[in-house]
Amino acid sequence: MNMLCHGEMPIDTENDIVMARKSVREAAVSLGFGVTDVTRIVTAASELTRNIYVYAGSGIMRWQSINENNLGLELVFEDHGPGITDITLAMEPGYTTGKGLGMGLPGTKRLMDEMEIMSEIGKGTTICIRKWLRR
Amino acid sequence: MTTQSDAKSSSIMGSEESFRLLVDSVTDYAIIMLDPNGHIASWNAGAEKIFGYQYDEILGKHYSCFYSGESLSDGLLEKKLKLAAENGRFENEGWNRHKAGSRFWANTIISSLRDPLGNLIGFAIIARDFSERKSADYARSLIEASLDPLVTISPDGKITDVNGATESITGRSRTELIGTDFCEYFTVPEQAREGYQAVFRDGQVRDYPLELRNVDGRVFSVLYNASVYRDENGAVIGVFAAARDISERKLADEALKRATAYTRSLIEASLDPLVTIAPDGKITDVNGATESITGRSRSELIGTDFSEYFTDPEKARKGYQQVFREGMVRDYPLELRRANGRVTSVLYNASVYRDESGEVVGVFAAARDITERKLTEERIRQQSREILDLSTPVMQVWQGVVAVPLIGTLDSQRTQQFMERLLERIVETNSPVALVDIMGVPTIDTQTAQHLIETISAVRLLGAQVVLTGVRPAIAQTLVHLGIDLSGITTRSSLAAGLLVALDLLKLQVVRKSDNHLGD
Amino acid sequence: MATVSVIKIRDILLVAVPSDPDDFTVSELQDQVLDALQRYNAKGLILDISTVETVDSFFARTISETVKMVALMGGLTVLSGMRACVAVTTVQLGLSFDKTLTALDVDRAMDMLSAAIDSMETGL
Ligand SMILES: Nc1ncnc2c1ncn2[C@@H]1O[C@H](COP(=O)(O)OP(=O)(O)OP(=O)(O)O)[C@@H](O)[C@H]1O
Ligand SMILES: [Mg+2]
Repeated sequence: MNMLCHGEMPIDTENDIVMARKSVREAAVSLGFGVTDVTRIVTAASELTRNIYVYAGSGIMRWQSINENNLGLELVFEDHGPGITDITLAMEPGYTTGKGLGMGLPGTKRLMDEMEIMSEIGKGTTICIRKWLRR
Repeated sequence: MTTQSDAKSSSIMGSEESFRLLVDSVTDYAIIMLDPNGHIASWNAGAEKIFGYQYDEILGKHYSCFYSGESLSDGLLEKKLKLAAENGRFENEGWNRHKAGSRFWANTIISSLRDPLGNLIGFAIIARDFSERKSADYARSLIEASLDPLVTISPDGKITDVNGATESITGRSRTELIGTDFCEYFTVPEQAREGYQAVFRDGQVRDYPLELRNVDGRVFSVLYNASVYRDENGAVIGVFAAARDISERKLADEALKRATAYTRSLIEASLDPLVTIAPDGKITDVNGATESITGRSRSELIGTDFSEYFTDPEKARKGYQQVFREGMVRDYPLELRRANGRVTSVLYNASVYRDESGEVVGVFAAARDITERKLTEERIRQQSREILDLSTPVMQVWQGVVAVPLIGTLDSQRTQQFMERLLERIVETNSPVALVDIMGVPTIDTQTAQHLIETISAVRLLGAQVVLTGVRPAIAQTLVHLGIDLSGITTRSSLAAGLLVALDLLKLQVVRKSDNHLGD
Repeated sequence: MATVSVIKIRDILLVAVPSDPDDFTVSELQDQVLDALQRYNAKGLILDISTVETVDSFFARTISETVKMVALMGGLTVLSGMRACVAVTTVQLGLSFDKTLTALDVDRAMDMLSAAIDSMETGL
């Protein structure tokens, strides 16, 4: 893999959400994303790291540049929390088991170009999102 | 089969590649605006370079000056503009005229430009200079450089041109050959005729076997690869045929050593970077072109991992592994990293080669540098985007009011860009009101309507307000039929009515001058 | 944790929201604003978010709640200065800030609030 930038950080505390936003912003800017796309990517990262913190307690975020015909940024959010019971339901706008707006997951899907969710009850959740540099 | 003969056949593939490189080369483009009557209204540096005219001398001239006499006949020019006006876009390839009088081949895209009311306000032309691929001189030198016998044939089977290699394999001079029947130089003329007729019918033939008779009586087994070529109007005017002397290959089987030297020279003569790779991925041989594209010497390269010279070694590894598995790959894209750090985009064509017993011993790979082509495509895309941007200008029409006429079909990507620019301009100009005029939008679907509604919501978040104008009856009908709720959004049928709303929102009033006096 | 400063201008409170606040700061902001509203008997609140770089669902929810709470206490809130890139993202995320008043900048927010407060008072 040609990695212009990559890295990872643990998500354990509330402040890690802020740190995650900073790291992702830096990566997206360095890859040449425009200000609106940077905001989209950072916002998505904020949603997914907060989900880790709120629902799984802790986890990890990884980021790396990707290059398949086009340059892009890939973010992976992994936790060993309770898992998502019904992914289809969780992707519905307004669905929440907490006290949120239930907009985090469906909103992230709209902000990014690609999104994959893998989750196993009792084992944990892995979410991978990607954004391509617009040409 | 032997190692050498297979390596040789691949390198001949390389010379075809050279021809393709010539055909594909794109080096320039021009961007020109015309008024509705075809008079030049703007001119960029690319146009200056391609057509030779300075900005000042061309401005206001009719665009027919780009064409020479033949292309002007039959009202072709008027037809092009008419088609562009009707369909929004017209693309063609043909001869254009340089200021100096010389002709050059260009690809031209003419797009019509319309105002919010749908009136034609002009045309945008993007012309790409393809002269190199049509330039007789350049083509000639490449054809002559070829070690393969090359020949062009007219539809009636007459030879129209040959290269040096054809002269030596037939034992006849160029002047002797031109104008004679192609078929008569083969042991079975009928088979030769069927061959070129197949090309005219199918567009090409591959590895068509024939036996060529030299003037001294010697017979050469050859394989022909041929395809049609076309004139400026796209009509087929002949066949371009390349022969591969396989009797030479037979010879090579017997005289291994000699063939090795011959193969080596062929490989070295190739303009494309060639490399052979062992099953463990190590480079076993390279040619001069590979040395220059990697910026590393033969001795440095041989014995090292093929994959390490690419930005994505894993992908390079997968590529040659695929060749070992499937026998070949075509147009496999990779990015080669030069010693100086520069990256070159290449397409690889590769196939396996075998030893005397038929065992696969390695991969033979030929690269084609597509960087220049990529760059040119990128620049053209950039320029088209700028033209697109021009077609949705966000104008400040009053202190505190911006207006944007949306023209043409709104796809997701375009609406996205439009939304971002509108929002930025609202913030820049500190304008609480934005007039969005959709008079020039031909149709609206749910997706587009959704984007519009998103735009309107985003504008509201900024602290400004959208007034939607130019809602034509057809659009109003579609919106209602689609069940799209625009209530809560101020709409007006015309831009003028919208402006009044905007002024009202700003607590401004338009008063007739005389009324003013009366009031005094 | 940096506390947010609340500035009082006549009967309007002005809060400059920090550019990248953590969740705690955002929650704290709500408490502080409600406290100040009561203490100063203010009628209007301007939340200036012109430096805010990211608005996610948590931020949006807390701000929307605050607006409702201020309304219950008889105050009017204007959200001012949202950046263009943030507005696009917020809408795409599916957040609406429904019924929240917005203004291009603090000046315009001040004008809006003063006018509204005036008419409220003359209406009495
Ligand atoms: N990492 C996770 N582990 C376990 N469950 C999760 C995880 N992420 C999301 N969920 C579940 O999916 C639901 C929807 O998540 P989403 O982010 O869309 O909304 P929310 O977090 O409830 O509210 P909001 O993000 O709008 O504040 C959550 O309520 C939760 O039940
Ligand atoms: Mg969430």
